[in-house]
Amino acid sequence: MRMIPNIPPMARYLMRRFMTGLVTLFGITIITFVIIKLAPGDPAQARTVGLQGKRVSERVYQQLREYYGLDQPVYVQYYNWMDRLCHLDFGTSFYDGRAVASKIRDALWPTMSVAILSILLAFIISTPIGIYSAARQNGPFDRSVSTTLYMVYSIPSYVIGMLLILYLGVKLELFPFRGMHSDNYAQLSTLGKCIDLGRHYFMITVCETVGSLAYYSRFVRQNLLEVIRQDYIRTARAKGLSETQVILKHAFVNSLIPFITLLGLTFPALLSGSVILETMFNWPGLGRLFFESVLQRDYPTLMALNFITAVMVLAGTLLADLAYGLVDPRVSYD
Amino acid sequence: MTRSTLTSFAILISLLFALQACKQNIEDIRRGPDESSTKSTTSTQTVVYDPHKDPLVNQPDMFQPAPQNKAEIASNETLIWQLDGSPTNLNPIFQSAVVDQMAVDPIYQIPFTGDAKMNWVVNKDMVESYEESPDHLVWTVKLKPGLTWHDGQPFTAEDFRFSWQAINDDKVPSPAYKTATDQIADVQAIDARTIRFVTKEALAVTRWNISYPIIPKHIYDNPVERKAHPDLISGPYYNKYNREGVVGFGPYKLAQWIPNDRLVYERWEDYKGTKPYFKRIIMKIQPDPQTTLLLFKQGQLDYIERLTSQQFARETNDSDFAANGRKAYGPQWIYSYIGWNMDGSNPFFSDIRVRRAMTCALDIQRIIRELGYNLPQQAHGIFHPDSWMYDPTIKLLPFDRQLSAKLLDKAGWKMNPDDGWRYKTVNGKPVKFEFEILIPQGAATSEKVAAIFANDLKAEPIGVSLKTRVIEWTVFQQMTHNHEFQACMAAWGSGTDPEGEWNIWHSSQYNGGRNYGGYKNARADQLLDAGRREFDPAKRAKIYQELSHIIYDDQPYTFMTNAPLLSAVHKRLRGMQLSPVGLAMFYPGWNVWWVPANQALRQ
Amino acid sequence: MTEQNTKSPGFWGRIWRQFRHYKLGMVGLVIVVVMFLVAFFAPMLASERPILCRFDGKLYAPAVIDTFRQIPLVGRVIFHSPPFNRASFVFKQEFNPRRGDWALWTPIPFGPLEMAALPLQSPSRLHMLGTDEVGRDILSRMIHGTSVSMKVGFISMGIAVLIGLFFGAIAGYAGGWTDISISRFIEIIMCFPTFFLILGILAWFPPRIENVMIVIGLTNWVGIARYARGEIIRLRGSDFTTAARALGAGHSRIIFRHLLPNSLAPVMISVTFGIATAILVEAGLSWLGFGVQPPDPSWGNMLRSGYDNLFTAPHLIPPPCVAIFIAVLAFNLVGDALRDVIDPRLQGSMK
Repeated sequence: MRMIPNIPPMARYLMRRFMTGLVTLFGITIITFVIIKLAPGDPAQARTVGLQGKRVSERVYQQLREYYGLDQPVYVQYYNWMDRLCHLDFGTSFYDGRAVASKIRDALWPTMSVAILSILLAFIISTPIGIYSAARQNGPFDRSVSTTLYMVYSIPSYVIGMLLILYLGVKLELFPFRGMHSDNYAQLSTLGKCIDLGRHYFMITVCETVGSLAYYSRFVRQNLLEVIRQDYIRTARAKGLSETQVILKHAFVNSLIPFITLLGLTFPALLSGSVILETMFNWPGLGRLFFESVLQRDYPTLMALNFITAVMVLAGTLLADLAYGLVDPRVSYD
Repeated sequence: MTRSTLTSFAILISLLFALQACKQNIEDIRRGPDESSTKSTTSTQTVVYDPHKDPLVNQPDMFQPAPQNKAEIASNETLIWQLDGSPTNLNPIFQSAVVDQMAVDPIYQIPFTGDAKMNWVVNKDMVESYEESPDHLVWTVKLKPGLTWHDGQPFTAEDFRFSWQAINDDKVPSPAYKTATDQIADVQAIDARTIRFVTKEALAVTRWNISYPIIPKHIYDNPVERKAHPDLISGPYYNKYNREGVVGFGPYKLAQWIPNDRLVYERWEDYKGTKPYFKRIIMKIQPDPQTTLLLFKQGQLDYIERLTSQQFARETNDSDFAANGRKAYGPQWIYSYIGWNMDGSNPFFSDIRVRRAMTCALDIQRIIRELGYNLPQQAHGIFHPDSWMYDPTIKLLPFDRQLSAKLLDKAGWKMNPDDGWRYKTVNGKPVKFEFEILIPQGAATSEKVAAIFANDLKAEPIGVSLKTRVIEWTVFQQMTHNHEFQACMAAWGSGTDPEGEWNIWHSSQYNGGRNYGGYKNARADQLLDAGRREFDPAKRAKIYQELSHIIYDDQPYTFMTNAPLLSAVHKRLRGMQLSPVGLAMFYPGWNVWWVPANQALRQ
Repeated sequence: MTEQNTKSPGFWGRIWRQFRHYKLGMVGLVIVVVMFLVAFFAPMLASERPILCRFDGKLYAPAVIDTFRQIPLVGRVIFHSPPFNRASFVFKQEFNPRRGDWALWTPIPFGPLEMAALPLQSPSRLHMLGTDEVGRDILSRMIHGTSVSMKVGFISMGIAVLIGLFFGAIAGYAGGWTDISISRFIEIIMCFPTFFLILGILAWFPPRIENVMIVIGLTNWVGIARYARGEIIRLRGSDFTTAARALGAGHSRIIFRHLLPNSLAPVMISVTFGIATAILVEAGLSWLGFGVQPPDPSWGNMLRSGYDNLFTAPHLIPPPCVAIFIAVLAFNLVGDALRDVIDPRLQGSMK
């Protein structure tokens, strides 16, 4: 790339990141494929599991294997998958014959909405806490809040989930905890639908928020503390702005960008890392789709899910790096 | 901050560890396990549940047949069922689970089916007449006139022929029906209403084999689509007709399918056969048994096909349940077993004495009492005592730990007094009696049975070590199929015709069949072969009775319990029949359920 | 120990002196030590066999012997005397005070696999946390579950440390293409959903506790490798490396005697957090049914049985929840304090 000197460093950087990203993606698909192939049990067997009362002859089993292309060498299967992917086709689910893309589309919203909600919630709650803590650094509020948050941070989300289900769901019967909406959802008025959805979203959103809440507020506090020490803040103070104004205007805005960086890093994790929570809450999202696909040996769906997650992680990292560069001019793209 | 934190820690720690400071009453501990527990608790657990004394169970109302006077019957009623998973699709030839079977049932029909006693019956809504050739090779079936598909197209013999071809097409991944329909040599459409089935062999089971699901030729045999998607399952066209656009010919049409939520069926008013009494059926997809019961108690469900034993005995005695619900209890032809691998790959179970010793060491009554709340019954071998194949002279092995120890001694497995385990010298080396049992994931009761069994086997005088391995269903299937196991725990439903046993017990079925444990008995092989070709019911019964006796004596399985039928039904429902496969999935099954006009609830 | 080899002999001692001032860290450490003791002495805390007893005229200490038989090599030398050597010997049934037998029971006189009572009993004086679905004492299972969690935490992180240090050291020291390819590989591993890796691998090994440890180790080394790599790149240019090289030391000598010991301290931080993660992942896996196999107790599968009996036996849920929380919190506290001591640059941020 040094041969073409007139490409700006930013573009060169992006291009390099893109190329390495492609290599990484390629590696990921290969490893995924190998793991899938090595795992015992195959789709043909998975299809016949439910037929306990019916007999399935060896011939039928072999035909099913042929149908799923399992009789071909692994590299041919991989090539076929890659070939389809290049045509932007994730293939057909081995489980129910639906297009994988539409299966994922259906599962995307439930997961995504919870992720967005929980990030928003964490943001809304953690920012004031962080700012207040930073403003009154080492004061009683700062200390008690940070201790509490620390303890909260250490509670695994599924443990919170179990406790919420037990106390709010079973004992107090305040919130439903299975699925996305009630049985009579279709008959409800618009307002009723909103309330119903909100009640169903409540627990799973709380579970996903709690961990990031502590993380974010400590992050905000830390960033503010750093920013406050910087020169231009000192200038602002010298200009006679009040402490509140200084913090709210300058410091807060300036610490927003690293926050976005953090978002780029945590969002993909929120999307993919909720297998247990979604199983627990019977939530029809990506995590449960993933777990069910593992159990059903639905190879095309698994491959697609892993591919999409990897793309999101890579994109998230790239965005985070770029955002980081925006704030900190010392970061160069060479 | 530190002080308060420290205090909270102290509390948390004390929760876990400081509790041990409590004084123990040695007397309580020393008393045997059973005595101490009965003494120390007053919980309801100690009260024995008896389904026959439960006022909500099998009330006579439930079984009242529909009256002649149609005015007494609510005609606009909705019935809401629980479906414990999403169906994969609604094309019956692709059925791969019980859920699919239930979801398809209202939309489709088959010409011959089983009644509440599991006898073969003709579906009079479809078949006008049938004829079996004297050599049992050719069946001619005449359809009723005027049958149509839901979309108005005529329902003809061509559809039979097409469906048979589709099922047996190598490119069509139909897991369930290829195996039986490949016994048919040809399906001929003589005229629009007459079908001739020509079979390869004269088999007693032919009358079941020719009853396969029928799909509409005019939709599936689409030349363009079939070329692009010869599997009849992929692509948007087939996806539509296999799912929300399904075209059937049963008494109901699919009105709506909300994925992960519900399927709604509307009565098809143009239906030519006997019209069912419910205007609408909703199948509510709810995989979780606890939520299901909750919904039922709130009046949002009318029928739960399977309750757990615990729910049936313990969680349905409250006023919430009694306000809306009744319970159905009866025998089902399903038995749970521990299968022993006898193919010689392990040093234990090829020996019949060892297998018998294992059975004698398993406290089946305790399992029934503690895990099944007295609801299941002890299994009497491969056939249910209510069935015509059952041999009443079968003598059950007793639960007798001393006898078990004696049998193990005889088989050469001697107790080592140094460590309390049994050993045997095999090929000059001492082998410890330690085996692994495979359990499919999600079978919670099996895990508990294994825990009890392991405890009992370990204790004197038996001294056998049992390890459990819980694996996914798919892997379970693979490992048992490849004979990679020492013992496994599962269940069989004995189905409609004993023909199914051939595939499980015939020695030729060790490779590729379901004879996972390698059972081999020349007489059993003879009987299995004879049973397939015997057409005289009395003689056939004799054959299978002898077979069941032989198999029980050989103990290739330790037969545990017959799973009972445990259903919850809304109190307004009438017209039910108990059957070995539940209240609904037989002929006419739920098609004759009704609700008295004065108790109509969901119009 | 490595401190003799390092340039600063009192390194670990200095860390300890500073660490002592972090109260929360000390609290965490105390909890970790207590859990460790509970895990090790589990057979003496909860067992169906007594600590000390007189049986048929002779004295025995079966629970004590059970405890020490857990130590890998010692276990081969220590034996039970008959009849306690027999697994099938049920002392509680043979115990007969009229013969003059007496017993000093363990504080919780029930074994983790012993079906001592009826199933799903609520907490009572005899079973302080109640019993589970086949009538086993939950407190006893909690105690024995501690040792499962501790083992998984420490052993899996041990594996992760070995792999991580190996790759990190090579990448950091060699640089160039080696570094690039290893870094790329690390990136690939990081892009995987951890759960997929674990489920995939576990599907092909039998889900035994050893395999769970290996799998968690195999998926957790990436952070350590990155840490070690960064540290070694930093140290590579330092004076003492140059000095060692000038003295004619070989690559392996420089890596193993100079660079690795000095980069160990920062790695320790990530190990401490890693143990918390490992405990979490094990419990999660067991919850999904891929972890420790029944009937052996683990916090995760106990939590699962609580979930399965949510409406009938709510008392099953809080104990494992509290235990997992305390364990994770304790390791996080220790890790945080450790980081503040070792690497003041990172003070205050979490992980």
